[in-house]
Amino acid sequence: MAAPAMQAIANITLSANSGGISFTNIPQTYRDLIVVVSVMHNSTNDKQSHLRMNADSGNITLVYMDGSGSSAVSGTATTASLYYAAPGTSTATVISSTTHIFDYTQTDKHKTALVRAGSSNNPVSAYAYRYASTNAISSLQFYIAGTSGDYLPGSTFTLYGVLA
Amino acid sequence: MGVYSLSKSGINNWSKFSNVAASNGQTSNFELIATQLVTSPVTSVSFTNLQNYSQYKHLQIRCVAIGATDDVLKLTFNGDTLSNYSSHTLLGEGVAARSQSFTSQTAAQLQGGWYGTGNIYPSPFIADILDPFSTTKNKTIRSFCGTFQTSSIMQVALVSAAWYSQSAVTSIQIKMNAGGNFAVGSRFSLYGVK
Repeated sequence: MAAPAMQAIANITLSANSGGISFTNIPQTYRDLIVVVSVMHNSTNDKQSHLRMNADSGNITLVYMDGSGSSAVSGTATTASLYYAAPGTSTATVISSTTHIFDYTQTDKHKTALVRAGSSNNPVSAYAYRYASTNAISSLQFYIAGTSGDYLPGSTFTLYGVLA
Repeated sequence: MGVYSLSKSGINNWSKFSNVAASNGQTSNFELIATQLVTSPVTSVSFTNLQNYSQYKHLQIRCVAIGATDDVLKLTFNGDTLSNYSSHTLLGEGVAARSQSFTSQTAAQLQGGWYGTGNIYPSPFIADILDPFSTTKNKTIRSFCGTFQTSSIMQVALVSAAWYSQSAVTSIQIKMNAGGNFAVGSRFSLYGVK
C-alpha cells in the first residue's frame, strides 16, 4: 500500500483571543507544505492576516486577484497575505484560506506559495507569493497586521506535509 | 516540531500527529505516483504507463518549474499534438484582472504566461486532471498557478483546460510552448486521488 502523500503535522485550535500563532521546527522531511486556516478575528484597523516564513519580515513579493461579487481586481504587495477581508467584530464572519508552500526544504531556489481564500461575506481571492530566500523554511508565523486585533476562539490552523 | 501561540494562553488544543503512524497502516486517498527532478536542462517532462494507475479516480500534478526562457508551460495527453485542446484563463497581473480563451490548441495551457528564468523565479502550479481514465467523456484540467518573470512582473492564474478525447489517459507530457528548457531544480510530482 502506498504511503499517504499528504500527512497532518500539527493542528492549533484557539480557545482564547490570540494575536498570532507559529509553527516552529517544522519537519524537513516533506517536499511541500499546506496550511489550512479557518479563522475569525476582531481587527478593526486592518483587513488582512499575514504569513511570515522563518520570522523574516521582508523578501516577499505577492500578486493577488480578488473577486468582490461585482468586479475583479488585481494588485501586488510586499507582505504575504492569507486573505483580504473586512474587519471582523464577531464570530459571524469566518475566513478560510489554503496555502501551498512549494519545495520548502530546497536551498537551490527561492520559495513560492499559492493561496486560495474566501469568507462568508468578503472577496474570493487567489494569491501567488515569491519568498526571495534560498533558506529552507523551518517556521511559519501567522499574525494579524496592524497594531491591534486578535484571532478569536474557535480559529484553527492546520499544517500538512506533502511527500514527493 | 513546535507549535505555539504568540499569546500562549490562547491555545488549549493543539495536537501533533505521528508521521510514522500516518504512513504505517493508515489508508490514504492521496498518494504519490512519481516525482521527476530536473538535474540537467530538458525540453519536456513525461509521465508514462499511466494505465497502470487506473485505480485512481483523479490525478494531480504539483510542480515548481524553472525556465531558461520566458515561455508558457503546456501539457499534452497520449502524445496528441493535434488541435484537440482548449483553455480558459482568469489572470491577476498586478494592475488588472482579465480572462482569455484559446480554442483548437495543440496543447493545454497550464499557466497564464510571463515565465521567469533562473532559480530566483521558480513558478509553481497545481493541476488537477479530473477522471483521466474515463472512456466516455472528454478530459478536463483545473490549474492554479503563479508565475514570476521579474521582481515586479508576476501573475496569479486560474486555468481550466480540456482535451477533446474520450480515450483514457496513458501519458502526460509537460513542455514549454516555445521549446525552451526546464532548468535544473525544476520538480514535477504526480499524485493519484482515489
